[in-house]
Amino acid sequence: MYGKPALGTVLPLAGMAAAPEAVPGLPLAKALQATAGAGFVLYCLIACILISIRIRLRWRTGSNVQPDGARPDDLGRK
Amino acid sequence: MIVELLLWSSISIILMAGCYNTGLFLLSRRRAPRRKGPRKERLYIFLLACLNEEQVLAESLARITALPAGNFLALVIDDASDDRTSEIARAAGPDRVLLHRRELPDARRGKGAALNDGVRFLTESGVLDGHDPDDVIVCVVDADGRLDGHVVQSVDPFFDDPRTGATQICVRMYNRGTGLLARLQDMEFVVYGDVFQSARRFIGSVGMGGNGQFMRLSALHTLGPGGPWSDSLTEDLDLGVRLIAKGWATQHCTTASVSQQAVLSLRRLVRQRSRWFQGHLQSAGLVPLILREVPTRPALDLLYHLSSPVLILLTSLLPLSFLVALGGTALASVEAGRALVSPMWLLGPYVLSFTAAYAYGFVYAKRERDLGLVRSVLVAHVFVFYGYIWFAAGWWGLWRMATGKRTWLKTART
Repeated sequence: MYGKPALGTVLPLAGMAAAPEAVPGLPLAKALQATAGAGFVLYCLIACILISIRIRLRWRTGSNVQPDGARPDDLGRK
Repeated sequence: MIVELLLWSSISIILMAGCYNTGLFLLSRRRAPRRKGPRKERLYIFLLACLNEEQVLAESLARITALPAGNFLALVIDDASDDRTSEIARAAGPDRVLLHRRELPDARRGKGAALNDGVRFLTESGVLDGHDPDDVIVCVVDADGRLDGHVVQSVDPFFDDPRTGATQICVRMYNRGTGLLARLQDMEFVVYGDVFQSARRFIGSVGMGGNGQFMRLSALHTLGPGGPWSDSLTEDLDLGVRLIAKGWATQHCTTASVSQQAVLSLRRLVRQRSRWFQGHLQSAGLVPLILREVPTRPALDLLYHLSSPVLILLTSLLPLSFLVALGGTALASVEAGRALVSPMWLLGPYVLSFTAAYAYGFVYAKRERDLGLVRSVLVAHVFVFYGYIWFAAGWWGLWRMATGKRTWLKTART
């Protein structure tokens, strides 16, 4: 996606670490960042599930490899 | 403790994206080896799916008919236009330009349907008789697309390799000199092509764009009897992934480009990107195909690519969080009568946010030598903020997806 450059350029939340005094809005800022963090944990979890499905599919395909090295679904493919 | 972990987790999104972008930037600097095969005479067919394109079509066809290549045709697929689109196509030169007019109620069902009908028309009309589908190259060009004169000469060697199913060329904005918004769109496409697409040549996951994509006809035939293009809002992304899944190599040609019209209104730009974003979300349906059929390295990259809308939505919360914290700190400083943080504190966010601007400025300056490196880097700083358009577009696209809205008006030409 063309927006990918935006991913590496997000402004990080650094304010709360730098200002030790009570800062208005800080709980909201933390909540927003923690929500993003929770979403990323979920993202990683789904990624792990997908990768394990992939490994399982590859393992099953590998056990179906023909003696000459061709897979059954290779027939007729470029 | 859990909140602390979640805060660190959000920072790891930035780290992951930063590592990925840096890795692809470094990879894109390498020279790609090219497998060679026997040279062949190929037929090039340019497909232009048009719906009310009278403002831009004549110039595009003039560019195509003037190409210094021997064996080529253009097919204008008029998707039941109300304006002079068909008339312009007929006047462009019957030797080189064919017209296929679609009629309602079958017409206006999306670009994918129009392109599928165009390929069907080519097969049934006898235009392709006597041509080996391996040696017929179909190119999708937007109605406002202006191809470089040397495009066929640049793309043709990629198809000498019999494994190559498709080749995408660079995309530029021909009105990039008309304002900052157009300039930023041009930078966006240059960065995407010269960094991400170029790097993907080494991974095997080059994506297709809706403009300037060249495909071998025999590769399109392997995509099934329903037609190569799906009805997705991003049918180009869909097609590229399915070609890779069928075992075809996709390539990116850095030496030729197609220029299109940049959107000059911010509102229309966000709407266009929302459509792309929604199409990207629809492409989640390709995940099972990728898991089953695509080799590991390109599969990982494609999965990351297809999941990038999720990451965009997540990261959209971080600038908001930063702004709230920044505003709060400013307020607290006013109340306290002194600055609660040193101005040097802003250096951290600057380094994390704008380091990429130097890389993107460097890449863009190589394409736009007249602009120069310094001005290019300055524009790239604005480009960092321009990237935030995707946050608005993302939430809009998600809203449309959630409310079941799938139809979109095309972006108007000016």
